Amino acid sequence: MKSSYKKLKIGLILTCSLVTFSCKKALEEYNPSTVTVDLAYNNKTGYEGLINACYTDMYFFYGKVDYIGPSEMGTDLWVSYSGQDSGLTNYDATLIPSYGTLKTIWGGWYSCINLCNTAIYYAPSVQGYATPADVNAKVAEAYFMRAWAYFGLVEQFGGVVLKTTPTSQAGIDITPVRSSETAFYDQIISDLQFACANLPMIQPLKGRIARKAAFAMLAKVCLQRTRLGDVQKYAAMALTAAKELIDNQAKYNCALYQSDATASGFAKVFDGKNNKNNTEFLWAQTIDLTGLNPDGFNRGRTRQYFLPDLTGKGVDWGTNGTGVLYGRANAKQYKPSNYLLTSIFEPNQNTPDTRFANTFTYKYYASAAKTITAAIATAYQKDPSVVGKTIPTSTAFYSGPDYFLAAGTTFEGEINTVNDAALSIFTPNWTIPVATKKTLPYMVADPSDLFDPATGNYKVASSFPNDVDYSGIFPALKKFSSKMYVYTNQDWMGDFPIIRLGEVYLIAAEAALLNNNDQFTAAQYVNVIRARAAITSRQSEMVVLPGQMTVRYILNERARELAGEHTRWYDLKRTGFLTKAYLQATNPTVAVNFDAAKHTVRPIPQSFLDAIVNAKDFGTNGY
Amino acid sequence: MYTFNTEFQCRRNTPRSLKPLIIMKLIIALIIISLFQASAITRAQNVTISANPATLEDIFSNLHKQTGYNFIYNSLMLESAKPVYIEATNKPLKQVLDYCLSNQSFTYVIEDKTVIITQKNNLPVMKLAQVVKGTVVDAKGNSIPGVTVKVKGTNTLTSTDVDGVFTLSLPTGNEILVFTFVGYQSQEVSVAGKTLLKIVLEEGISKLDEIVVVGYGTVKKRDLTGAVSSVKGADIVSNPVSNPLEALQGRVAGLDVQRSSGQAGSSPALLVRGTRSLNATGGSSDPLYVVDGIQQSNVAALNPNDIESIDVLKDASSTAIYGSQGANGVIIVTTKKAKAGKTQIDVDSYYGINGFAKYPKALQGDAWVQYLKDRFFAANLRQPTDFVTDLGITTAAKNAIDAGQYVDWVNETLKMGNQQNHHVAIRGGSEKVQGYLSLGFINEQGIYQGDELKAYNTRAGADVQFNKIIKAGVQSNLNWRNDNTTNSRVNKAFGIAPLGLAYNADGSVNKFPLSDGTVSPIANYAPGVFVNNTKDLYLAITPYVELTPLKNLSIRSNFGVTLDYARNGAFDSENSYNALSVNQPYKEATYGTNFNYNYIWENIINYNFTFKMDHAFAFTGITSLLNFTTENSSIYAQGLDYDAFLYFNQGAATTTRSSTKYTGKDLASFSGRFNYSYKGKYLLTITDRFDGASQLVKKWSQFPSAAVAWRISDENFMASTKNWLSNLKLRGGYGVSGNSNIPPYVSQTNVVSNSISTPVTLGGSATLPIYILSATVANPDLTWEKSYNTNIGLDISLFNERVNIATEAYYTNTQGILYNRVLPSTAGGFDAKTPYVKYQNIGTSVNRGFEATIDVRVIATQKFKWNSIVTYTRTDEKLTSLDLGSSVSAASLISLNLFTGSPIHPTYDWKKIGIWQTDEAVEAAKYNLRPGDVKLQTNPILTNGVSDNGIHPYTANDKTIVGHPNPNWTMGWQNTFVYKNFDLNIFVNARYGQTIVAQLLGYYNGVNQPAFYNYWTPNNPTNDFPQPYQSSTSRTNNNTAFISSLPIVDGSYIKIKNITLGYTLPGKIGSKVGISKLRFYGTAYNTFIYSKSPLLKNVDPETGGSDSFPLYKQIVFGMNLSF
Repeated sequence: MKSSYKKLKIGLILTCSLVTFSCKKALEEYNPSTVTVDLAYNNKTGYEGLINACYTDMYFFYGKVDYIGPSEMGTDLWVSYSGQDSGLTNYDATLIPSYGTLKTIWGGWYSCINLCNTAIYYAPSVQGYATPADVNAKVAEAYFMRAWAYFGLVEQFGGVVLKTTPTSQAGIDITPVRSSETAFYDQIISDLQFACANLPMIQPLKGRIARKAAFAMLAKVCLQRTRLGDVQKYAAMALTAAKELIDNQAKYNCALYQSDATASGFAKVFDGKNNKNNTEFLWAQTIDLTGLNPDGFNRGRTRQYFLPDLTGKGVDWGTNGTGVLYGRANAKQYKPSNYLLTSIFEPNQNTPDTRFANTFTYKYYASAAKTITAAIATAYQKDPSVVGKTIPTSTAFYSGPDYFLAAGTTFEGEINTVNDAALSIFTPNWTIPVATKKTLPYMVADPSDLFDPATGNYKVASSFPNDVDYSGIFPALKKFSSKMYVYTNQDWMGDFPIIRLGEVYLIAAEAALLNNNDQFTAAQYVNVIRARAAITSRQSEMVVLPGQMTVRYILNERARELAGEHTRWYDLKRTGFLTKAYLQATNPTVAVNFDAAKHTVRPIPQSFLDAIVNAKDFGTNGY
Repeated sequence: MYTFNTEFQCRRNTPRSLKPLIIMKLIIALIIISLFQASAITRAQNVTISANPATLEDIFSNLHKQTGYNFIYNSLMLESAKPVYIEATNKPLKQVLDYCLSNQSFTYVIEDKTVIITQKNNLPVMKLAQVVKGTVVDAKGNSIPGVTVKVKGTNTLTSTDVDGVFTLSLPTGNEILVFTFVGYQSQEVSVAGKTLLKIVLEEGISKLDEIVVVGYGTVKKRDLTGAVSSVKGADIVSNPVSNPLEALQGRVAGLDVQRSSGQAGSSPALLVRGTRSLNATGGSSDPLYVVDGIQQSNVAALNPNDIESIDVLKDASSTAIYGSQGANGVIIVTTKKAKAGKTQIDVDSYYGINGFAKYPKALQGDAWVQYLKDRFFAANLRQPTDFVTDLGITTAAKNAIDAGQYVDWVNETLKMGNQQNHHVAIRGGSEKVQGYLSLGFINEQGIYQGDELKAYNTRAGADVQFNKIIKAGVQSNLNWRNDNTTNSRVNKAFGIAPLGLAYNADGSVNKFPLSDGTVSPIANYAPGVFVNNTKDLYLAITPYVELTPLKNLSIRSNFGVTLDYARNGAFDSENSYNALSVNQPYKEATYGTNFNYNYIWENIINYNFTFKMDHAFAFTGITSLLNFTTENSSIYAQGLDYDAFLYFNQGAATTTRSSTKYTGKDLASFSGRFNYSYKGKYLLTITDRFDGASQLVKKWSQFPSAAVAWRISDENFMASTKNWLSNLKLRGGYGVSGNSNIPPYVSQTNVVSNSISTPVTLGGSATLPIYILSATVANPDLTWEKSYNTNIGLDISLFNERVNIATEAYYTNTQGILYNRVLPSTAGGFDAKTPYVKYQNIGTSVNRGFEATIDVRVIATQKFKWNSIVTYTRTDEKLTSLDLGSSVSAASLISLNLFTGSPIHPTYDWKKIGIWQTDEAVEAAKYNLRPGDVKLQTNPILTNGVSDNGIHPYTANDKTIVGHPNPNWTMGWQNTFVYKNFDLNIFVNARYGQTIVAQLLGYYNGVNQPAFYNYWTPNNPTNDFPQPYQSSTSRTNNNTAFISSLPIVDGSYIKIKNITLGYTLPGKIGSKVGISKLRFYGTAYNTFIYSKSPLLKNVDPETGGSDSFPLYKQIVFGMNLSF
């Protein structure tokens, strides 16, 4: 009996000690799928992985619905399609802290900032570079990206949180404080100056920031900084940075597309063939054709959000919403304003300015053959002479060469386009006499059909019971929808310009005016841009005189050049035209709810307010 | 089996009725006493004796000295006697003798101041009046050998022989005989002068003697101190289910079981006593599952027929032995084991058909056209003049209308499913070796094509008693699942015009039923275009060895290994629904594996002893080490050339991406439990456990608990109630349980490669390396979430256990709730849409509840029986504080859907209160609304101290807490009727007070919508659904923005979950062909549903509003056969 107790005792002791020993070892976590922060970021491989990561957030902005609203809507150029994105397009009551898209851009910018802060923090200690200059050339990308992010933040949200240390070092700040807008700009400008001094002239990958982008960005933010005072100082800085680039295009590896006898330079900028190797893009969101992008193939859906109702009314005339060329008309959100179509762009069929024609699709070709019935003719108030006419299909297997999709894909506009035979919907920005329209064997919606002459707004069908309801029909923004790189009816795989040389000329012009009202210099730069908007034979018609140079003129010129390129809201804010009066005069739908007391910044996202202790210091930004 | 023996020595079945106080009993006793020689010692012949230990002979000699009684015995016989430990002061001689001989093979009689010691069963010669002979049989008429037959109130006993026959000589012939046999209800029979008796014993035992499985041991129900509910195997298979957990629904008070999906093979959601944990990551509120003593997550892999019992541990004092693992309750599954003796073979089989004949249809024909017209009118305030231009439908659609080509997409999408389960088990063995083997096959065909499950299951095990000390065995479970799944389709039926041709002339699926580009919702039903298949091999092997070096000491070591290897293959051709919808021109396939391997090593020591008769002690000590490891891999391929490759030729693709991942975590524990029982009346359990979890920073913590129980009915002063009150027990417990149920590595800040999920090439040809910080920020203070639980229970048995009532009330206060808190986005983020999170001990919550189980044998005659069990559960959960790092608790975190003072995940949205009616146009205009628009409850806005009384256009600020998904109470009502050979089972269950978001009510204003929607038009002033609008720019559609309020309804319901009618072949007929049991049955599921909200009359609200895979009505036919 005793011996068995003894055995038992020994057994128990053995068991316990074994278990204790194993526990100690077992309770240490083993995690082979990751590496430690210091190991990763103190050597070149991991460090460059971090620098690359600084680019990822930007892919959630350009060409994405989350950033179209904040950057372009609520301006003179666009109106909401059927109440879509109404908080940002119409400043209505839905614009509150829970507004979804704002959470994405807020989160995206701060995510980028923390990555950049981390990269800047580890720059002094990273190993594996030959010289400190090599490290500076690399970390300069992070400085640039941080400036990009802070620029967006301060413009969209005002003086919010400014941090330059990484969270992994500084810890989580749950009582963040606000910084002034000028403090933001001091940081942004100093970051960009570092980038201008240290970035390589040419990067082996076109999507990587090169020095040209830094100068362009410096010019852009200095100009924007003028809205906070010290106008001359910052205008001069903007002008200097812009001039450096404009005057040394070869050195910085960029060039403006110039017009020739058949095509304007502007047309070439957005020609699909030039998209992937664009001399004018100073910095672009590059898209991989095999889907190696954040969000994979879900790219380039801008075209979808600006599309008219090709599935509804369009079907009467032969279009549909599933074609690859125009896009899938099921996420329609935005329509061009009357002001953009008829005041910014010259409403004239024979204008020398090719920019309306190259910014918008205004001729939609039939997806399938369509015979015009008496019912349709009546419904669209057509002359009986069109009844029985057949609009031939324009759809066919691609005839090349501006495509990259696999064989077997069909496109609209491949056949029967000579003399617009297969024209299905026509939405010119000029007005056509009613009698003529009646006899045209396709749907025509010109400004007189679309807009209420009394208000300038889109017609409300119930107020015009005798008119055809064209409220879903309008020209579609096509800058980011070239046949080259359309991928599916949703996706377009082209590169997306973030800043391009054309804009730098307009920045220079505006800076010259703000610096010392140098209309002569301003006109010089503006005329370069205007001239390349026309084919060579008509360039002389585009010339404007120094005396015409005002900020308002340049604002209009920017709309002609840059409509849809994620900049209009910033432009109105900078130039002081983000006002109820201006919106009332240009795009009255948008002006209805506009309240200057709060609408010049955005509500702070609820998720952030919910995550901090001092939510009252941020509040709702006035909302 | 390592059972923890709490059947304390002091608690013998010695009839205490010898000293009754009530008059009736006294009279009876006096009669017996006067006739029986034992009378002598009833006159307070008390003794005091102490022995640690002593031989029986010594004790007899001692007693002789004290009492003068003579002891007659055979010394040789007493050599086999065991030593006796006793400490008795002034106890009756008889009681002392009973105790001393309790574990011996002797008995005694007292004749005139002489105590005669004999071997048991050798009854001493008595004065005999009458000899009684009898046969004991079971309900089927089979004789039962070995039944103990005892003369009530005496020590006279015998047992039945192999033929079930017994003979007893009785003093009067008017005694009461008590028949007891393990597994049968004991029965008392009055001899009443008869000489030949036939006794039929009913299966089942006294509720109080039922064995309840608690952590690391078992206990009789009468000795339980905590809140534990048990469900027997017979109840689990009485209504056939393919997942054993579903059988728990409504049978366990305090356990909420909800089947949220009708998908083949889907598991129900289980929640014990409400939600405490906030973790958004799934599964953190799941109870712990223990199968035969080993933790296992894959309970669904068990065939219901293999289950002996399921015990649910609810309060902290019961779960404390599992420490941190038991915070959300513990569900202990015990499988059927082999027994020594006759080999038993069971065959169970059923086949059922599913179908939801009444699933709501989309609008068809003229009704749909009228709907379009109504939408047009709402948007344009005039009647449409033309289908195409006004109604916005395509010419193709118009042609289909003209040709009458309507399609009922709901009908095309759904099919009749079926379900079958076949199971064979064999069990048997000798005293030393027992073995069992079972084979099962389950096949479920869901109500969508391509939703199907085949599962093959085998369980096998053996136990060997090598010698007196060493026992060892192994249990194994092998499960093979082959599961095809499909995307939910029925919702698409409301997003497509009910027009066109669903099939081509050759019978194949028409991809574009309207030839206008609209993709058919059944496109995936075309052969070979879509596959989503999972194959899963699950293997659990549990060897153990158990040593019993001393009588009351056992040491057991378990080693459990589970391997779970699952492979998922998904293929989408360019003709699949998803690809066609976006013109995706290529085929894509994903091949992923998930390899889990876990081990658990536990050592358990049990020791129990009785001290001085009345004091019983038991001790359990446990060490435990758990390791969980998962390895994942995934290969995505795009641009395959042939459909036939499926996901088996990923290398042939134009683009592939692959990833692998490892995660592992460990838990180590030491725990001990101490039980003390005084006279079986006062029970005490103290448990303490130390747990260490690898994923925490402060890894170790302690979880103590204590519980007491008082069997009031055993008290002397309760004797007067004995004839109607069989049991009255008050229980109380307090304990701490913890939760470390968070993913591994969240306490580390590490760098991960993210080039798979956010690849970037920056214009080059290859993905660039991306190294970013993991999404979770380390928290150096991360520690245990702890729940402090108080439980009060009262058990009452009435009328000889005809009525059994168990009630529980509890209060749980949870501190330091673990939550993956979203950090301020200014701190950065994993990507633009994923902010950093930090696991943090963030808040406190309170759970309160009341539970009752009432079990009544309403009618219990030989021919007709009616048994009825009602369970009732009331729960109330409340988040009490949210600590963001300041001293002030945040009141609400809207973006996280957390609100203090509310249940943990409330439904926060707009609250619909009706529809604006025509006569309210003026009022509606104040909200920028019109008649026909949805009317919401608003929150007043204060501007400069002046309230607008809530009159303003609706905004997100008008959202409110509309309700919560948890029911206020649930009820289950199980009725079993047995009439001769027929049995009828009716199970009713109810959930009341939950708010659900019913998907089916959210298809408003689509291309089509459910036909039952009663929507507003100027001529139909309903409050059900607002006026549908055609998408139009001319008139604002005020309803669109507030659609989310439409499907939020009161989800209270009551339903007859199942009705089973069975017929058992009479035993006599079966036994002729060697069958011991043969039963046929039919079951109808979900036969009747009553929902409180009239809007839910077309949907089964049990899913909580989800109708991706609607629940179906089902009819099952089956058979149970035993040899």
